[in-house]
Amino acid sequence: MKRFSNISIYIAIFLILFRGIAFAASGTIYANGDITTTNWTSGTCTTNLYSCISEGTTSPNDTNYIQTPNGVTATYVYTNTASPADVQTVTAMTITVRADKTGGRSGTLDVYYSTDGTDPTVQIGSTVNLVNGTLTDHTFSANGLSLTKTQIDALRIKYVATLGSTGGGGGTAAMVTASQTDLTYTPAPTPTPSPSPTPTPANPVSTNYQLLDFGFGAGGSASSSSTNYMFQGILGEIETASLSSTNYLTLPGLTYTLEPNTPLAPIFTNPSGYYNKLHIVIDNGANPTDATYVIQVSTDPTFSTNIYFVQADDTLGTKPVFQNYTLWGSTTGFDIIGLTGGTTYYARVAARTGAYQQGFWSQSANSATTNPTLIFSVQTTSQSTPPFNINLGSLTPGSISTSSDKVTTNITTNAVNGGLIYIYGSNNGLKSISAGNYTINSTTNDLSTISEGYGLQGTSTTQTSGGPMVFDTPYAGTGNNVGVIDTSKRTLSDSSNTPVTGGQASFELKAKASSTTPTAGDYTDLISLIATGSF
Amino acid sequence: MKFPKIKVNNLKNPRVLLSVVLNISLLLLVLYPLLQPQLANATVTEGFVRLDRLSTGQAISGTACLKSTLTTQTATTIVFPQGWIISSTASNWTTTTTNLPTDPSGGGAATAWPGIGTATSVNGLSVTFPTTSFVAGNFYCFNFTGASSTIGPAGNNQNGELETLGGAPYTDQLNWAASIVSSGGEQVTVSASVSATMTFSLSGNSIALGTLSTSTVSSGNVTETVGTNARNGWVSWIKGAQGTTTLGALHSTVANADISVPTGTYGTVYDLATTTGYVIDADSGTGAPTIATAYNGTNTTSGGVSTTLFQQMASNTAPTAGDTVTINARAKIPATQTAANDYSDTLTITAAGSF
Repeated sequence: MKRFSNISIYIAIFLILFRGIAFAASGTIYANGDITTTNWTSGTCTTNLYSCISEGTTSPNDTNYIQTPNGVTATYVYTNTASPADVQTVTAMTITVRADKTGGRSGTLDVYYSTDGTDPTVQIGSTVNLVNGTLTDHTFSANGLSLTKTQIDALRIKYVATLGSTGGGGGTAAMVTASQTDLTYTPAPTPTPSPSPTPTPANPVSTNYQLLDFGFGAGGSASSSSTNYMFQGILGEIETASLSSTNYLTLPGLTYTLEPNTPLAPIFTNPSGYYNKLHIVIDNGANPTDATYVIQVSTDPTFSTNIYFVQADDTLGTKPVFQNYTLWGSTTGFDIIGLTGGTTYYARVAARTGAYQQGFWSQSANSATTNPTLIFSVQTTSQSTPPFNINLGSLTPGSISTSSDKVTTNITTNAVNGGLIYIYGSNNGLKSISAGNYTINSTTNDLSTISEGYGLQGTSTTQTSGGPMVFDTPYAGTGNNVGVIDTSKRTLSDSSNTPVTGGQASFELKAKASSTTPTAGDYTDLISLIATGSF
Repeated sequence: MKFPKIKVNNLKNPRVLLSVVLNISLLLLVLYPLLQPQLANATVTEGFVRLDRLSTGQAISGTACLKSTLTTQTATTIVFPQGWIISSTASNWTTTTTNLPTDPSGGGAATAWPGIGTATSVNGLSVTFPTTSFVAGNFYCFNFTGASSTIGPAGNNQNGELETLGGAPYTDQLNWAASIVSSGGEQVTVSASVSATMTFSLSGNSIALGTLSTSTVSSGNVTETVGTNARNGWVSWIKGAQGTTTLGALHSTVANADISVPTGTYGTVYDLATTTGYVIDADSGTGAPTIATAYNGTNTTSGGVSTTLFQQMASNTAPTAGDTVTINARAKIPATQTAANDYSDTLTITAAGSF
């Protein structure tokens, strides 16, 4: 403890001394302007009395001087050069005047000063008696001062020479050949080095704000640039505090001003009830054309899990893909494909500039895929509910009978490749059990050219939207041309490989018996209709 | 008893904490694919599951088709909609690859689903079948039947899935929908009837035998044409106006005499080359009708005797547009036949369809 106490004392002493030596400075200022020159003349100077004394007393030039007439009181007030730039507080000053008198009578000199630009009234030092015929450096000191640089730079010094007019020896005049003022001051702390010559905005200022310090910070800088953007890095600490609300965030530091604009939330829709894709139009945030964008998709509204990125082929993948606005479909947008039905997806966009400067995520938008849909029903002209029957009546040999009722199939589907309706029969024709299973065979033919046959002919198609519905070969015949209805599942109609709403396809049945078609009352066939979507 | 030391790790120990973090990270990396949502694979070009019946309660069978751009398939799973009855016995789910549909989008023929066979497993609504790798771009199909499995209740937009395994977690995935109707709602019964028809004609209404001879047989004929859609064909009968119920004759009112086969009787065929009398012979024509034995002469001089009763002459067993029968009347007289020029008989021929 004792050793510690001694050491602490030595340290304290050292600091005090170090502080005293390190923190005291001196400088000299000289006369550099005349204020009052009452009864002082330039002597050998033609103009500006101060110029005869401004060389200072350290290296005086006694050949030029200022002087007074005999037996007068002369007042000379002058200003000085600026104090050293590092002056913070002047603690003492000494004014040295090199002067003498000529003549036998008395001659004194008083020195006054002021630091506010007014007539000096504060005497410094004491009255001195000028030496007759011998130039002498007279000093006038003031200590314990606390003058600012502004004050000392406003220093005015007044000489008042009082010269006797009585006594012996004739008239007396004063002469001053040189003068200087030595200052003792506390210097200001070493200032921060000025910013590098890198061009900075010319004095950014607005009505209420002004940037006092800007540009590259200390510690070095690095940059990465593209055509329109440059990334500037600052070594060292930067303030990371930020003000934020739910939807907005302000960040300090000039680096953030170079980030790309944050796009608006994308337009994310399901315009046609898709079950496996959604349409997206991203916003470019008014970024330059060389900016690229990444689209993040998730089933989690917080984007904490199930995170995917849209790939260049419009599918979802796990790796971010950046493309420019044009490749992402510009104002038209594009479809994100390969999605799962019945799922809500969330999407957001971020822009990127330069090689790696990605901006903030936009607000997200969401849209949902629908489930695959298929709605199918059958009806006849006179029946809206099953069981459905079509009676061709009594077939007259040699005559073609056409069903009075038509069969209508109804289909609605969002299958991307459209809907299909298949048909097949049970008997390969109209079969009579009582006639020993005799069958009026179904055929694809013109019934008017054959003696016996049975088949189907499409009569009309329509749809509310999508499609259109069409009959497939051989069911699109006219006249007495019919298509076969056998035990094979054949495509009766389809929606042209396109989703369809309210699709309808109606058909009728035709049959013809020959003169040898066995008479029977139980000719029948059972037609089955199947609807499917090609998803 | 000395218990083994139980090492307790202090999570405040940085080394212990780091170890825990690394192990959790490794676990997440392994399980990561399973944590991802199921994404419908954009490599499926088209696909569907077509059921054979769409009525509620019907047995489940149908056809599954798929076109993919990938080639890493190892199994196929059909996931049926909620509410359907799915047999949990894998062997109940069988497959075939015959009579496959054509590609709706390309029109080409389907290719048999590679490696398809009886299901290997059933898990709830999911039935898994064996499969081998596709050729990218081929349109593959297979038919499936699920014994003891039935379609669920009626309703639209019933969703199922068709998946091929071999990827993470799938190679291909297709969502499909079905519309199930009430019982019979997708079927139409077509009915028709065919009325009975019958046509009959004779080519003439008289046969002139001329002046009969004692040495040669005189013949004449008419043709009967019969058409009918009677499913059992037709029968034709003949009867004469003269003679008896067992023996017909040509009768002369002037001579009050008959020309008939001596001691002849119905049912026997007589050859007038060796005897005299009056016979009827029927010959089969178009349609090859069957000639009754009684009138089936063996040559151009023979025949059977008519009677005053209808006797079956010809028939056929199937519908015909026009069968023909040539009906021949023949006569030859003995030397003792009373001369007259009014010997005659009236034959009545009829036919009926056997419906």
